[in-house]
Amino acid sequence: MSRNGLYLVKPTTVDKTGTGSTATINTKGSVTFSACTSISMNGVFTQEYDNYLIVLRATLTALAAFRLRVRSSGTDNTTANSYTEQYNFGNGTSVTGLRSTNNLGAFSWVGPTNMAGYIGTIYGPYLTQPTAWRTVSASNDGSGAIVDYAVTHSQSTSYDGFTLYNNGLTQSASGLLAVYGMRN
Amino acid sequence: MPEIGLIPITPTSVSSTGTGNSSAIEPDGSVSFTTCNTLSVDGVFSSSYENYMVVMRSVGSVAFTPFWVRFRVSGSDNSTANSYVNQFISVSSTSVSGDRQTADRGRVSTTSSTRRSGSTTYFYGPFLTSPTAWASRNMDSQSGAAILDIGGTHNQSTSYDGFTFVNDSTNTFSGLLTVFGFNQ
Repeated sequence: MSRNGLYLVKPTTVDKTGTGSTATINTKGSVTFSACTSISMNGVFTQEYDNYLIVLRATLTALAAFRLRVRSSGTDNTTANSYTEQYNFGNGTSVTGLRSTNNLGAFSWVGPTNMAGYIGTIYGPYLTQPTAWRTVSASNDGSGAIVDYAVTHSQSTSYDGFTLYNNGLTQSASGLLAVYGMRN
Repeated sequence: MPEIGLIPITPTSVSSTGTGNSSAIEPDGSVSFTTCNTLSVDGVFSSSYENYMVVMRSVGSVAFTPFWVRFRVSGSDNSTANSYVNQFISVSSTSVSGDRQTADRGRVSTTSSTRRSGSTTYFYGPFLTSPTAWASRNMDSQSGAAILDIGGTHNQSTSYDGFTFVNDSTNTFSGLLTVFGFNQ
């Protein structure tokens, strides 16, 4: 009897910020959100799975970077220089890369005009060990762009969730967010 | 009991063109195809899911064959001029290059006659009455091994129920694909 490899994980709670923002946990576990400057998914990482898939489709009110911080018990980890990111940006005939270190990690770019979609795999967030994630995207920067990130977080902390937010906290995002556990 | 995360979807119908072509829906819902110039897969996008994954293995009739996607509804492809924009990053040996293309179809993958090619394509929101995005990660077998990553957007606010993969000119491709819905 084969086992299923991917399970939809329902958050215990969802936090959000933004004027007029809404975030609804759907029956099966995805989250529909609107006009959010940040959205936090709590209780999605557990001992049940080591690795998770995050699937997001979204638009922002203006072009901006989508950032990610891991969190535990409702608090984001903002340790200085604990997130190191490498990005790969394909924009027309220009392909560039950049590495940087911050108190926050990257997820991708989003913009308002067209739909944008993201797949992120996050490795070991619940383990009391450093965490890593890799995102691949269809970004609507310039109507079509590739913005990929590989990120490590150096803290040996067990996390139960994450927050997605934009850089300037003035643009708001709308879309559908879902987290899946990958069977070990 | 957690929800299954990825649901295989059986098309309502498939059709194909090309000299000596054949295409069929297998008992498990996958689609097998042989010497096709185009392959249309209908009834796979619905209100059940917003986001989808298409996994395909293929072999082409010539050494290098790019192929494309058009979204379709009720058996008719959308070929609106300049409505598809895609960015690609190509890595072949020590050469890394990129380009953006705007056309009445979107680049989605490449296949080759020398060895097997594989692709995983994500479609974001194709059934919604809003623009659609896609991203594909390809194992491109030209020159033995190459990486081809693609991100794209389609700007028509149309609800689609299927897609067509279109090969260049008279080149053909053969293989197997499966469509999955991300449970939400």
